[in-house]
Amino acid sequence: MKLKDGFVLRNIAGSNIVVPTGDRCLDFNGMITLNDTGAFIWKCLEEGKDEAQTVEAILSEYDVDQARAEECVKNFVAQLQEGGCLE
Amino acid sequence: MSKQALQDAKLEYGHKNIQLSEMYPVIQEVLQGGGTFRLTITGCSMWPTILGGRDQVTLSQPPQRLQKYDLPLYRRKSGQFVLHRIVAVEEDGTYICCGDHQWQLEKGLRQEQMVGLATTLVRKGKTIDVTDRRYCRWVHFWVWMLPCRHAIFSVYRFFSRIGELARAALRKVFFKKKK
Repeated sequence: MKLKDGFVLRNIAGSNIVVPTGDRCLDFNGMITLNDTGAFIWKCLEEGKDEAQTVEAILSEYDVDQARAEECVKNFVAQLQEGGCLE
Repeated sequence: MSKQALQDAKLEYGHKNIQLSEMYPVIQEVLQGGGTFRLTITGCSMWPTILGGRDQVTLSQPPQRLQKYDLPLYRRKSGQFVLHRIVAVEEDGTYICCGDHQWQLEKGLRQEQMVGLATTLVRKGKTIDVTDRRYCRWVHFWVWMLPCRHAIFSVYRFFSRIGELARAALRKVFFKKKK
């Protein structure tokens, strides 16, 4: 599970925006808006963390139990998969 | 340190009303890093080559000097971003730009105002490289036609108006017959 190359996550005008760049924009039209949790998970994936490590990062950052964190990551990854953001 | 409560992670395709000026630092960063940036065009000043809302361009870092027929994204002194074609390069190195749907020239544009250079167009979903021969022929022709553009668009509008009226009249006739 790895994010495709060519995305940059930036805070633009108070929103977390993922901008496709380079070759990526040839098959990816437009930008993605993430909420804060989404951006947090995105950054974890960007650093090359896998699902389990991402869950750990969430547990250390947020007040949440293991099951909920796992569910959250799973849902988000499913959304990324659907949108073709993962390799 | 107290921890935040976790919200569900949300991901939305598209964005809400982000202005190009807010995107500017990101665009610069991407282009300077050798990347490209795809921009969906708004407005109709480049029609018939590019239609706002339908077509896109891919931008790259502009070279040291741009040339006639190039299609740069530049920033006006007012801060507004514009994608118009260079129709002439002045002796002092400034550019004269004009949209393909315009006939009034914008003079005195400096190299520093150039943000990106269009390298490909996506027109009706089809990707066209700016070195494409048919595209180049069209661009040369259309810049050459600059003095006649006003007349061409007037004639075009006139005939499309007549066409509309004729269609409306025909619809009326057939509608009546059916009854």
